[in-house]
Amino acid sequence: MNATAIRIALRDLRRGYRGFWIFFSCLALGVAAITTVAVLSSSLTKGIERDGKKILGGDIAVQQQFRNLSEEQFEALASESLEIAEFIELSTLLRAKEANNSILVSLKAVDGAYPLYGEVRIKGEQQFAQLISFQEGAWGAVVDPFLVESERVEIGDLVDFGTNRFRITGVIEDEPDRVASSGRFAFWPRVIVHRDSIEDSGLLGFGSRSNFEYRSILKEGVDTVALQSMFETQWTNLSFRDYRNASPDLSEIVQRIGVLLSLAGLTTLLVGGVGVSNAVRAYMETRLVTIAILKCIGGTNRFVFRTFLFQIVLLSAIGVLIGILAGTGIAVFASTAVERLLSVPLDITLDPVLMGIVIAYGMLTAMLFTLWPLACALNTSPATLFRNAVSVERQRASWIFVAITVGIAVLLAVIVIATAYQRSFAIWFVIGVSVAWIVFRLISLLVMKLAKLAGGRFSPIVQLALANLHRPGAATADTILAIGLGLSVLIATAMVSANLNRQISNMIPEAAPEFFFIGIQSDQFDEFHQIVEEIGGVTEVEVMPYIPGRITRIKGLDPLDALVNEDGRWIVDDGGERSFSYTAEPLKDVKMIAGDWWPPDYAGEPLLSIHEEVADNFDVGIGDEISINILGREITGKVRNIRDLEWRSMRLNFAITLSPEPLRSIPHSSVATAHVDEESEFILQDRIASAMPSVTVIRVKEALNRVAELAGRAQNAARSISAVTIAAGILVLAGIVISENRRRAYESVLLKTIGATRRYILATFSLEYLLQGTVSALAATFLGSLTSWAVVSGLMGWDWSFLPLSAVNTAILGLAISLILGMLGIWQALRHRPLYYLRNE
Amino acid sequence: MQKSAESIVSLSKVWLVLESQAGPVEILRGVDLDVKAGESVCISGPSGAGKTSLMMIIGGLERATRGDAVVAGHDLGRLNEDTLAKYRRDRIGIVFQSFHLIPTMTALENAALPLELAGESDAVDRAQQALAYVSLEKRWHHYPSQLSGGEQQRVAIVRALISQPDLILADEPTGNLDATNSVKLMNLLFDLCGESGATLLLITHQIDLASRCERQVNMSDGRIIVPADAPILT
Repeated sequence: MNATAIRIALRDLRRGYRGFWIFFSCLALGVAAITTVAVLSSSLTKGIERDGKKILGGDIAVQQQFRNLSEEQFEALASESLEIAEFIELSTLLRAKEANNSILVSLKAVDGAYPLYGEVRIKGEQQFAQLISFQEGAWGAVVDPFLVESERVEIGDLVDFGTNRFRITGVIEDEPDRVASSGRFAFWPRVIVHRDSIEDSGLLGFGSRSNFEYRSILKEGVDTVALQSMFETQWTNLSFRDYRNASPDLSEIVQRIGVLLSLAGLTTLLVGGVGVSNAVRAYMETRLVTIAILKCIGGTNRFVFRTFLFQIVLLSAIGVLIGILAGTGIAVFASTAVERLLSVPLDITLDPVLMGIVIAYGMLTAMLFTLWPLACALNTSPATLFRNAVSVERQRASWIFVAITVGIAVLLAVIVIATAYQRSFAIWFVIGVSVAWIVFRLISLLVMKLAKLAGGRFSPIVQLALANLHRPGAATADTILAIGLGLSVLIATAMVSANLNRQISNMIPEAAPEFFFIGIQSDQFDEFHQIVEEIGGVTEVEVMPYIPGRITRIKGLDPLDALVNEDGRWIVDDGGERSFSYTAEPLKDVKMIAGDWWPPDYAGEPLLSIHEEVADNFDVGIGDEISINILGREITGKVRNIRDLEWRSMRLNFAITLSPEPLRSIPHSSVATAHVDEESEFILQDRIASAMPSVTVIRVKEALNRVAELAGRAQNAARSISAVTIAAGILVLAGIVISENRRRAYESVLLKTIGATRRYILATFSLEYLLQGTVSALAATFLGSLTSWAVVSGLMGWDWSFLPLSAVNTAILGLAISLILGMLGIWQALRHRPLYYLRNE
Repeated sequence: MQKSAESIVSLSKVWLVLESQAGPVEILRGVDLDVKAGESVCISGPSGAGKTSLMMIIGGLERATRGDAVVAGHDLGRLNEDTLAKYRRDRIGIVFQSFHLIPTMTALENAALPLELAGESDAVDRAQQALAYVSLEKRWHHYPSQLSGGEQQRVAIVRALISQPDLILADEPTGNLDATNSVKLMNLLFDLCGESGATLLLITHQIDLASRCERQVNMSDGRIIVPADAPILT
């Protein structure tokens, strides 16, 4: 860069940055959004890495389902450990004083050594160990804030877990190993009690679905890899983790959500880019005379380009810097809330690579949107100084700038795709943005063309509005793009939200049972049926055997080798433990795809009834063999039939159901569903929970409320993101309105001079905005719906429906915002006094 | 200091035709003009006669559609845009009716700009001397908006002459000034041109100004209607 060019560029900027607030705001908003996401997700990842021991609760974690480690296993662990903490996790019913306040919770029963790293923080800075001890005739229990906030319990309340009584003594503020230890119990609100308090509570009886957890601080120099290998080889039913991989699920979720949010941030940046472009165009219009003068007194094209490029790069850098500072500030400010939400300590540091990517996003986006107006202005002929008619409207930049702009867009796309955790999603994002861009550009061209063609056929008001749409230098294209892109994001978010709500409400089929009971032992059947009969109001009970096991071979292959479709990975993934059942009678309400049922009295070699999904994802047909390990015993059966079922019908159904032999003779528990009258619901829940503490009672309504609550949090997050994008859209619109203000003021002065009333002028300009807004809203409804379909159907794998009400409501809202902004601008323009403009002509 | 009496401007059958939606418009129609170095020539004529267009062709700001334009030894038709810019930087000084100073730069910076573009290290010193010569030494750090019309035009004249060009093009330089300032300004312009030996090509409607030029060229409808070597009308 030429020193003279820099000197002149700086001189030119010396009069201040007035008029640049839209430029800075648009750029900074997008960069801030990306920075916030980048800083938070990298701090989370680093926090997980740095505080792996705290998150895991030890150097290593050993877990066994349903029972304590054997003496031999414990010895093997103890011999390598300095200290061991033990706890048990299970889902159980918190039985409150009022039966309708009873709720399923995730109970964690800890010993005195827990936690090995970090501390359990309680609201009001009370001592955790003391709060869970036995005092005044009851064990203490500390609870998730949700339980108190939702008024299920209060501090001091007496509640029951199993057969034992507890007093609520505190509210958990931070449980250091919540993320890594809760596993499948994470769904329910947490309660922590002392381990001794549940020994005689009946909660750990045979069939209880509990996890026995061990955390260890290892002796100096112990090789965790060797230790893990030893444990996994000797005892295959144990699960072993070390602190370097404390919570792989969380790391993956953080990265996935990080990508999603970064792309949302990038959308904000791209929407803001329209504002940046508009601001630069407006700025360059004020610099045309300077450009012409520079050329007149001997400045070459290259020199003039460098001068103004330097200005734009400098201003962009300031915008990006503001964005980075704001984004980092927001991330630091939000970190406490994120820490609390995820129970993961954040390690806030600015990763230079990440910041480099953010800067690249910001600067490339700025260049993508500014190069064109800059290049157009560069074409200003110095000869125009003689005519006093300098204008950028008729300027067209050379093909070199078209090529550079396309090059920048490609580079931006490459960075987006290369740095994304999920490349296929990023590719779709790039395609989606490009298509949206092209569609809105084409629509604006079409609108301008139609406005031109339609001229001369309407009343003067319409005529003037149409002329404003297609006149040289009209902001029609930018307005449609800004409103359209912003609204598309808003409609997409609203439609995803509405589909999510619909999905949740559809989860409750009319014939759904009110209760699931898990872990009923054979010797509890009589008592179970007796309670059900005594209560009355129970209309239907369905019971099926429930046997945990693992698929070991499919068609003679390792299950993962037999997998032909990734959609079926869940069936064999995650340690592979699944539930199986057996039946003599054909299952009710299933649709047979192939084969038939075994006879009710069949007692031969095992036969299998498999769900269509298993058949499709593992390419299994009738007669193929599947082996299952149940309690260490390998059972191989032939597929007899393939059936379809609706998982959400909530009937008892299993992906694989076997013929009765030999499972009938293996000790196992059962699962039951019950249809109950509303008034008998809490009575049944309370009676079963107190009589059979080891049975997990799941009230369907409660579970769905919990799903709705968790989904609500996700929706709030999605709304916040779309709000930022909409803010960018509003900024862009505000920028357009401001840049149009002088022209509108001048036009309104001329119209007033020749006798037009304010109402007439207002109607003309409003009609212009209304036409632009309506076209944008219609196109945005289509593109937003398409995007929501891609997210709901493609990314989440749910059924998608076009929900016209939410789309139309959102479109109208967006339209109203843009109209109001436009009207404000017009009103401002109308306030100008004719004298000012006419005297300055 | 008088430069040799060779032709500095030599236009031969210059046509300028601009395309418009209504069809081609002939702005200049076969103009022949020869101006000797050091001469002062006034171009006059009614609005739309083609005076400014003729000046733009001489300044390399517009290209002739047909014909030859050779100025200061440069065949302008053969130069590209960047070479034309350098040609203006080194050989031409332009004074506009509306002054056209860069509003974000001070008087001193505006005056020094051509020298800075030429890479002269003493640009600021020379601009200070030149502004002092036109009695603006107390206005160095004032922006155009803080200067009167006469002061702005003096800065513009300094800017036009500071790199000692061979040819000064002045398009109604007093059009925006009152009578007193007009006289002062033109005295200054003629004096400076006389001292530097620069050729002056002046567009004006004011007869008294035109009379100070050595030669007057009348234009009408894109043509020169009085022979270029005719005596001055008073």
